[in-house]
Amino acid sequence: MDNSKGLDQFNRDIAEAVDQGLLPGAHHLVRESGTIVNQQIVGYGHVKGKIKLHEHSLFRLACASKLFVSVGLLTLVELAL
Amino acid sequence: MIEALTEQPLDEFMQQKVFAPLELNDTYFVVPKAREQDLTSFYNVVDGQLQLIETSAMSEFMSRPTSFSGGGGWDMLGNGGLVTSAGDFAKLLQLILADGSLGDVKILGPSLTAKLKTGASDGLMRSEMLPGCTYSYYYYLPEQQRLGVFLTHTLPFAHLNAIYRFNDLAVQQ
Repeated sequence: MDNSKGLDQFNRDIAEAVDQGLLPGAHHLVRESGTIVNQQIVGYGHVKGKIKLHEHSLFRLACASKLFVSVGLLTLVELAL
Repeated sequence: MIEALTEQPLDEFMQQKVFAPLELNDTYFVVPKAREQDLTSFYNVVDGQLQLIETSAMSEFMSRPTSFSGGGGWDMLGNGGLVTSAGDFAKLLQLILADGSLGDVKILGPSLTAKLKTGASDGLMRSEMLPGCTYSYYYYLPEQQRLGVFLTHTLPFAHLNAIYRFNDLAVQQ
């Protein structure tokens, strides 16, 4: 099922939220079989000074850090096998 | 656990075993001074207005914690102490979809990687759907070889209902 319209609408809504000052910015990336099928980099890394987000802007991961550390932990399990 | 087994600080271990081999050059526990501008400022939304909580210069991500194993500092970091870019995050998810190897770089074998692909009844592996817990959303669908990453720098981020719509997009494709 092609949901490019859904992605486009989501991107538009996020851009609108940035314009309305409800969101400083966001980076949204979707890949299929290793190919980027959607990428949106919108808004500011630093609202003061209007410094724009870019491809290598750094975001706090919070809970999602666990996925990275889980991969690290599994490398130790691999060594033990 | 990692520190206890390896007798290494968590950040050094992760750099050696995961970040460097995968060339995750935007992923840090402690951000180098030279990249301070790349670390986004952090905001809250109060009465419909963005409110600055933390600039990059004042962020705890710019300095190494003083407490290590036993003091609780690194335990906290393992749970939630990373920063990254969307590109690096996508690369980590791609590693999982590709059974633990990317190109010539092998991080995990397929059987262990499979442990990161199980647990969701609908096959959609995703970030916890708890608005406020996280402002970094992701999913990966092994069967469809599809992944998605959405990163922002606002807390809480429930006001746009984005996490639900983001996950809906994953299964609608």
